[in-house]
Amino acid sequence: MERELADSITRSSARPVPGDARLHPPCEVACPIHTSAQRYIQLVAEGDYGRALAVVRETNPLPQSIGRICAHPCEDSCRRGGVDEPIAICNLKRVASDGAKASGLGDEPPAVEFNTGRKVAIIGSGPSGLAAAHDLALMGVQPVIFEKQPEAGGFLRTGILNYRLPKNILDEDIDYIRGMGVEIRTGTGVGEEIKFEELASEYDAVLIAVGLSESRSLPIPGVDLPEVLLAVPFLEDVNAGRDIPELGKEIIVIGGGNVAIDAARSAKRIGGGKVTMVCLEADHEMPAHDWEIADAREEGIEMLCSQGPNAIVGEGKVEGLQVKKCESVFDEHGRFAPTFCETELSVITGDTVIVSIGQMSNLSFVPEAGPEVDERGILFFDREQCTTSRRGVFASGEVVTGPGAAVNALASGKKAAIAAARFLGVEAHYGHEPVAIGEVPSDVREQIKQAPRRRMPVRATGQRITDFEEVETGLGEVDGRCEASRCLLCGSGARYSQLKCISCLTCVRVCPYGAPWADKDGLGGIDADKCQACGICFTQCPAKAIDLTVVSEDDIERRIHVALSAETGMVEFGCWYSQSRVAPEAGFIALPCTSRLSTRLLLHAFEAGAEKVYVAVCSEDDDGRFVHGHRQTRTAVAEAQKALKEIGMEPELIELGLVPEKKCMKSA
Amino acid sequence: MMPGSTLEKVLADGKFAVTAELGPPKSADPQVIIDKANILKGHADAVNITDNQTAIARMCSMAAAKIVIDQGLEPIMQMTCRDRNRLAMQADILGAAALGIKNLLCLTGDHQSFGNHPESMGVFDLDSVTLIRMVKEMRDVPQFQCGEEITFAPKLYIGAAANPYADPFPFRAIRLAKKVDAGIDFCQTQIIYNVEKFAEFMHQCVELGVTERCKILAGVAPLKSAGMAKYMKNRVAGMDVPDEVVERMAAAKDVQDEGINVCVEIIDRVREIDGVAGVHIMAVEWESAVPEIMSRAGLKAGSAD
Amino acid sequence: MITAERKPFEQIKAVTDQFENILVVGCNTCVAVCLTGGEREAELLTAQLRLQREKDGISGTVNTVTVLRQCENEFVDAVAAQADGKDLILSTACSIGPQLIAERIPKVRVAPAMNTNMLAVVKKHHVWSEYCVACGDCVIFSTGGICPIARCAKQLLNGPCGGSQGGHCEISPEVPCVWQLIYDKLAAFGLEGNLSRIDGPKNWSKSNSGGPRTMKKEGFEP
Repeated sequence: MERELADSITRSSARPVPGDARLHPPCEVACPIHTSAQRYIQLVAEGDYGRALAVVRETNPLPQSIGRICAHPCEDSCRRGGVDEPIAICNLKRVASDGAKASGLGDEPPAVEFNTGRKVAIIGSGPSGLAAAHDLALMGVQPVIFEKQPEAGGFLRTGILNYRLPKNILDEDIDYIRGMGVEIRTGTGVGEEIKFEELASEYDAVLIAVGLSESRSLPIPGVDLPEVLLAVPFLEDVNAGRDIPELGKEIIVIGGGNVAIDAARSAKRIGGGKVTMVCLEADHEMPAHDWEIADAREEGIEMLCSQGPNAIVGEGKVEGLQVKKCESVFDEHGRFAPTFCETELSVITGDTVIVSIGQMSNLSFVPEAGPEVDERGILFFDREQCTTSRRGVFASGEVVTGPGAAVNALASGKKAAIAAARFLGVEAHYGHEPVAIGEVPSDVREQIKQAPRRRMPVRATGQRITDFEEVETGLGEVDGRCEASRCLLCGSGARYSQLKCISCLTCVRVCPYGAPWADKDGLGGIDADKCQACGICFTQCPAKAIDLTVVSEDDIERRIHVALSAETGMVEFGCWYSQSRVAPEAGFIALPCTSRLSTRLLLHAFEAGAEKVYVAVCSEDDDGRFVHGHRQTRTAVAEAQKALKEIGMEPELIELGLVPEKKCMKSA
Repeated sequence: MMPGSTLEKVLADGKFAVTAELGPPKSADPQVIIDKANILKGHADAVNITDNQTAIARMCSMAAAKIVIDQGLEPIMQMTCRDRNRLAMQADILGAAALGIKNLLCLTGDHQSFGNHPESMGVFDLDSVTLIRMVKEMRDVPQFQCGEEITFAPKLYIGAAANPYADPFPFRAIRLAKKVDAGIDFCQTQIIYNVEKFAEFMHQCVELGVTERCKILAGVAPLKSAGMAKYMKNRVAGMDVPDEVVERMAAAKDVQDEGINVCVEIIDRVREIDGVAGVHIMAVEWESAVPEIMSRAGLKAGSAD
Repeated sequence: MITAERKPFEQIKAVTDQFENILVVGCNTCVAVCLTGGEREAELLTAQLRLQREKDGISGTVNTVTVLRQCENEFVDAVAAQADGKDLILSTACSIGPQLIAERIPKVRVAPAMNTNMLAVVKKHHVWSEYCVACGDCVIFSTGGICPIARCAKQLLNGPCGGSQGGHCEISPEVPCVWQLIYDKLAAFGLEGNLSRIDGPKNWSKSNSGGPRTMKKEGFEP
């Protein structure tokens, strides 16, 4: 386990920003709203779903909905992806909310007082409008949302289907926001039931969050035939439960995005017929999420790539779609500029065409007095200030950002809320952008135990395409906690006090991952990119210069006292991922691994009043989460037993036990 | 000036010298010494009087040596570096000479942890080489170690130990040469059982010219039992006891007789080696074996007539 | 570094049992680097004492504080206030620490928790070997950078003695014969002939044998 000094000359690949001592996990940084994914995953691991949900709610006003439909950029940046597969962060969010619900943990909205005397009118109850309303309410500003549709939710309601986001789930999330005192006036379209200027005069500020509610159409022959449907109204009808008589048995969906996928899967469910998607993009370029494409293919939807729509053919009714070969979609600058081979034409038969080539906003309600709209029909918008050209009028969401994921809309709405609050003279601050730690270095990567990602269970294809019930059924507690155990706790490992460090080089020698490094002047640092938070250095440092960010020494002491409050006189130190106990009747002290248990902490349990201490450890073959971790556990126990013996106490008062039934870190 | 001891004369005359060993008692009783001296008288040219050998406290070498002189036998007093600093050493050297002791063997001494007082401090103010040089300068300059003149010099025939079997082997003859440079007149080797290796050592000594300046006496010792053979092989530092010797002792019917035979054979062989000026028979607590060994080997004391 | 080993608990207890309020003072220099007396160990000893005294029904308190080094007035003075109300200060530093504490905090009894043993090198993690005895007159250039005073059981300047065998000292197979090491080192440079030169006797008056020593330096005085 000792390393020569020369091997440890490494440098951290990132530096924290001034004022922020930490380097953050990349999931948190990649998330547009910077949700503390690592923290809620830890809490899921401990089975503390109520607190996990509370962590999600710190940044996310629509936890259940996002936990089902998020584009999860966090997973793309997850460092575990370099080891085996990213953590199922999005699925674990649902485990938290499902778990909280199942344990009857109240998800009570906070009581909010609109004590600033300011009010804001928000046009649109989609994700950005809801997020802005939620945050403004917490700042004491009274939001009123105007929604033209009969029900709130925006595109989450009208554009996304029940099988992906059950409406009752969406209702629960929206009801929470209502419960805070946020008024949502449905069936009240601005420009129809109420005029923009009325809002402008009655409210202290206005936020336009109307999204992209109109489908773009195609200027090709045959687009006016009756069986040609536009995606957005089609999905609205589906979601509203209305009949769609035009829908036939052989449906062609033009488009390759998520909305096109939803249109295709809905068409499949309603008609039960053949559904083919046709898109310009090549297979690998399709803009829809990979997992959406996979789900659609599973349901029997065919995809014809690299084909452009030339004309809809048919005499008085749709009989097919003529397509031409699309040679490229993007130019050398990455701009959308498709090129076609006009001579390679073919016809796909079909009786229905759904056009899903993109959306645009409906800004017809915007008055003469502004805010101004450019020649493309897009609001003039300042991305930093979230302002339009008209004073006191702000904007957020897809209406100004263009198409994007719901979580991006949340971020946009939250930012606009701060901008509007500041405009109104309410104290509000933008958070600083966190900096992520670097990639896991390859030599450390090799030492991390592989553990495959838990798969989200889905309903059988044959059955699920007959209805609109939810396709994904949720990871569940056992798989959820196992999945949570794969989290590497990025950036949450050892940190040390430069003042107390004596450069004794013990940490350099004992670290299995080579994270601490030293040169001729002493200890240079502990490389956060390499540190796996095993805790061995913390237990060995002779000067007590090292502590762990998660879980710190003070936290462990607190947990000891909490465990003893059960008054059985027994405590068990164990791993918070394992779901079985060495001593079920003992108060449990959950740690990421008992490899971080120091000798003193074991004695401290006795000082705090324990009469018997159990320590769970992985077997010598298994080795647990960390390289040689179990050896530290055993050494600490042996040292503590010796210390007890020296003072005339029975060493057997500390008992080491193998984890009885290890469920995690193994193949599913 | 040289003391003109018996040992000195025998070696100077080119006769084959025989020395033996006499261990003082762990008591104040002089009779033990008297009895041992009487066994060895007439057989050995001189006898070593050990000095707290293996760090076990015994009557001091100087006192026992005087008792031996009074019995008409010549002693070789021993002095180790373990128990005395240079002040005590010089005092004892002057005293020894005044008492008529004429031979002095200068040794480093076994480490105190081997003996019966392992908690004592080991002095080691000097080592054997600097002790030798100090004695030589006290005799020949004559001066104390600090440089002050000595008005009446102690006349002593100076000896040291040599160990052909210790490591590093290539250095052993050189180290003996170093002691010769420091001033020894004679030396006695560690007990020989591995004659080949000893022969090689002697060859190196001849090459270095050591044998021209120093008389080398080969150390031999009769084994009393197979256990003693094993002990010396495994537990005594700086000894080389070949397996055949251990096996011979183990297989013997009359162990003591065999032990004497082994000893006699070795004496016969080493006498033939160029540069060997005598033997030093170490019959520890078995002084009575010395006459028997000498008889079977056909040896007489160089001083015997 | 200076190394020290913690005394057996019975020896410590024999002293601490006589006192009511104890301050355990750790040292984060030498004894921390040799892993026996730094803050970690001081905290451990404190936990042990508390548990033992509770079990044995001895009343009083045991607290702990660690300073960077206990051989320095300023650091010892920095914790003097914490000794108020204490009857005993138990130091986990080398013996210099408790001695200075006894001088700087004169009203409280002081006891050592350690036996100071060596000036040592770190051979590898958890293993320290004596390399120097502070003889005050370093001669190691002539012995290939290897000290025959600290590392030879008989402090020979003209070694080896006859007990050297197989590269180890006669006192134990675990102790290397330093004169074998010196011989090998000089031989590697082709200098084994130097060993024919007679060295010594050593001037012991520069070592502790000459009396307790004080070192002084000239320079800017505050």
